[in-house]
Amino acid sequence: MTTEGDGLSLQDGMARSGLRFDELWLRQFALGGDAGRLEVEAYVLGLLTVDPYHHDVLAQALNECFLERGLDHPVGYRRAAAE
Amino acid sequence: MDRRQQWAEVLAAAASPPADRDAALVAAMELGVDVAPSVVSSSVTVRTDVGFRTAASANALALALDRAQYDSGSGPCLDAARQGAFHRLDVVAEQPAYPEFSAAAADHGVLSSLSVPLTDLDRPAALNFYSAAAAAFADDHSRRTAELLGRCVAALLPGRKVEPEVPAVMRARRELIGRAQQVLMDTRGLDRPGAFDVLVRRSQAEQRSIFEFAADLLDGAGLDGAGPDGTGPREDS
Repeated sequence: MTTEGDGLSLQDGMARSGLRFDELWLRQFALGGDAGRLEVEAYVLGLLTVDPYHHDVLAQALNECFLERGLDHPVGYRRAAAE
Repeated sequence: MDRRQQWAEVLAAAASPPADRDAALVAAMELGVDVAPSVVSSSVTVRTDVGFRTAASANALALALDRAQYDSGSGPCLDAARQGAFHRLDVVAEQPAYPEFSAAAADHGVLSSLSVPLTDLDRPAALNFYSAAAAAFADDHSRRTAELLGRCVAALLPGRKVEPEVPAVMRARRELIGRAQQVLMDTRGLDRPGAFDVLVRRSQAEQRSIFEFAADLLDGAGLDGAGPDGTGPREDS
C-alpha cells in the first residue's frame, strides 16, 4: 500500500472505494474539478502528474464516498494537509 | 519523448480528436509498453464490413499475430471484440482453443496477451497487448492502464457512442461548491484552491460532507459573503 501524506494514495483509495472511474469523474466534477474523464484515470494511475489542487479535489471525491460509509477521510491530501 | 508527455498528448487527442487520427492512434499503440512488463506490441482490432481488421498497430509483430487470428477465425482479440469481455492469456502456449494463434505467438516469442473490449464503439472492437513475459497482465494496474488506453483509442476511432449527460444533481452540487468558494474568496481574499482547502479542512474537522458545509456556509453568509460564523476572516487551521 502507498500513502499520500497521512493517508491513502489516490490509487489505493480508488481501489478500496470500489468506485468506477466514471463515478469518480462525476464526483470530482461535482466538487468543481476540471479534469477530463480520461485525465482522472491517468492521474489516479500515476500516468500523468496531477497538480496539488486537483489532487485534493480527487482525494475529497473519494473521501466523500468513504464518509457516506462512516469512514473518516482515509485518502491523504497535499494542500490541505500541508498547512 | 517523455512518457508522461506522450500520455498527455494522447489524452488530449482523445478529448479533442485531431485531423490526423492515424498518427494519434499509433502514438497510443506505443504507450502499450506502459501496460505491463515486456510488452512487445499492441494493436486495435475492429470489425468492418469485410470482417475484422487491424486499424492500428505498434509494429509488424502485432499485425502478424492479429492476422493469424483473422485467418483462423479464432483468437483472444476476436473473442474480446465479439463478447465485449476481457481475454487475458497468462500462458499463450497452453490455449487449445486458439491453436493457430498459439503457434504464431510461439514463433514470435510472445508468452502472454491481453485483449480489452472497446465497448464505447458502435461496432465490435478490441485493443490487444502482446508480451514476451508470461502472466504479464495479471495485476490490477495493468488492467486499469489497458482500460484507459482502450478508452483513448475508442475516442480516436469512428463510431464512438455519445457520452452520457452529467446528472442535474451533480451540476447543482458543482454550482453549490463554486458559490461557496466564491464567498470564501471574497471574504478572505483566497484564491480558488485556497477556498477549497478551507472547505476540505472543515469537512475533515466536522466529519461532514463538504456539500453540507458549503450549503450551511451559503445559508449563513448569503451570496454577498457577509461573513457569519464559518465564513469570517479568521484562521481555519
